[in-house]
Formats: sequence, C-alpha cells, structure tokens
Amino acid sequence: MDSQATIRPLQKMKFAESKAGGKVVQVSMEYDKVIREIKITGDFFIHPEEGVMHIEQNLIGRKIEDVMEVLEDVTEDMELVGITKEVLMELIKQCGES
Amino acid sequence: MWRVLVEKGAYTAAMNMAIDEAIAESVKAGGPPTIRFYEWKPTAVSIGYFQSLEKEVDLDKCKAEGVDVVRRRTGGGAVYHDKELTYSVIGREELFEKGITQSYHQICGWIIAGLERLGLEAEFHPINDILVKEKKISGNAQTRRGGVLQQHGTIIYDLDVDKMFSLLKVGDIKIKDKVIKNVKERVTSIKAHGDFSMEKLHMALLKGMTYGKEWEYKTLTLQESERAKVLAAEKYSAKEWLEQR
Repeated sequence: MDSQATIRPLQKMKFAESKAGGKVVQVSMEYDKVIREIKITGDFFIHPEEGVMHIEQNLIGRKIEDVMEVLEDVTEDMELVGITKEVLMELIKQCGES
Repeated sequence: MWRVLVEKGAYTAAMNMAIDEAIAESVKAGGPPTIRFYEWKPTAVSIGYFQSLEKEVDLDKCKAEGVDVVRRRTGGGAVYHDKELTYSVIGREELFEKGITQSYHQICGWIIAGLERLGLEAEFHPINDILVKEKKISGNAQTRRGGVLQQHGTIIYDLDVDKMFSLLKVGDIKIKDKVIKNVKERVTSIKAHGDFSMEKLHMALLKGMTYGKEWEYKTLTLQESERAKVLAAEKYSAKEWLEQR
C-alpha cells in the first residue's frame, strides 16, 4: 500500500471575508493546485440551509477557474440572501491567490 | 385558527430552539399556525446556522458566566439573549408572502404594529431588522423547510453592550473599541424609549401580531413537549450540532 500518495505538505488555511452581498461572508480555504478544504461561514441566509454543505462539497478538488461554473450549477435551486455567487467567487479567488 | 401559546416560558437555550422546531414539526403534520413568546434562562448566546462558533463566541467566558450557547437552525448573526422578548411565528408557507424579504417584511410588520401600540415609530429595514429612529431594536431570522415557515426574532428590552461584547468575539481585537462604540450608536432598546414594563411590551406585541387574525390561547401539546425535550437533549445540546462550523 502506497501511503505516500496521501502525504502532502501542510498548507495554511487562507481566510477572506466580505460584506458586499449585504451580510458577512467568510471563506476559510486550503488551496494547492485545487481546493483542498473549504468552509463558508457568516451571518447570511441560504435556503435550504444544508445547501451550504452542498456548495462546499462540490468545490473540493476544483481549480479556481472552474469555481464560478460549479457555483452557478450547485446554487440553482437554492435561495441566497445576503450572500451572492459573485462574493463567494471573489473570496475564493483571494484565498487561492494569497 | 392561529394558536397563541399561553405560557411565556423562560427556558434554556437548547429547549427554546427545540420547542420552535417541535412546533414546526407539528405544523408540518397538520397542526395550527402558532405564535409563541419566550425568554431565556439562563441568559444565552445564539449563533446563526452558518456562523463559526470559534470566530463568534468566547466559550470560556460564557462558561464562566453561566451563559448558555446554542446554534440556531436559522441563519443570521450572533445574539446575546438577556433582557429581551423573543417570539416565534410558525405556519405553513402558504400563509406568508412567497419571497423571503417580503415575508420578513410581512411578519416584521406585525411586530411593528405592536411597537406602534407603545407609541414607537418603527420601520422594517431589509434584510431582517426593525429600526426605531434609525437604530436597530429587533433582529429576525427565518427558515423554510417541508412547506413550513418558521421565523423567530428578538425585541431588545434593555441592552448591555459591554456585557454582550464580553461574550461575543470581534474579528480584529484592534477594532473592538470602535465596534462597541458603533453598536452603542446603532442599537437601541424599548427601555430607551419609555418606562414600559416587560408585560406591557408583551401585550402590545400580542395585539400587533394577532391583529386581524382568528386566534385562541392554547398550550403546547403533550406530544410537542415530549418531542422538544428529545430535540433539546439530542440535537441542540449536542457538541456535534454546536461545533459543526
């Protein structure tokens, strides 16, 4: 069994936040060629609430350039209040670049 | 026919959230739309469904002060529930405006009608706030699932901003003083507008919220009480729920 495959250098979680969508949106993200880990937090509203988990799960393994397409697709049946796809995109970009 | 719960109980944070959810379940199963008023004992911090517990709450401080901490099933911000009146409105979605902001406006309109009975000029401030003289007096949050809308919110009776910020975390410690000053300037309370008793506030809100509705005073059903106890113990008191983000 090749345990080497799961070992990767420890990346620091990057953090970015914005209120441009009306409410506080925070992204904590680990990026190494693709999104390794992501947590979206804040005082916004997503209906249904579990939608935030679907967004996070669908972003894992994606490159920054594919994020907008994923967001468009996964939020199609959700209602976002105080948070927008554009704000999320911007924060993810910031975390990916910094 | 709307049901207004007779008891304005003061419960633990977990029990308060559990009662709201138990009512939502019974509404889903065909129970009557319900209006509930409640308080918090001990005082409590509630955080929004999407908030980071670690970023928002000083858990050690809450523990030391005997303050409950709970995650709501609604979005929105962190609230310190101390001297306030909390309400919830739970009913099938068809009873309310379809749009989220429109339904906030609708239900907040009932609160505003109540506040007007005390002579306060209140206005809805999207997304989910009520202001008196341009200062926030009420914050509200709603969830919709399984065809049921639940909105709960708080009407600030008296406010201790310094106590509140000893329990809540402010992002950047360097700006803490500024944030506290800002909140003191932007948030108000019933007390700041007159010598109203909590009972008077309760009655004014009851009138505002039930105006034009057919309603009756009732209690929680035995089934709802039992279900709430289970939800309080197994969901809202559980570490996994509180620490999920």
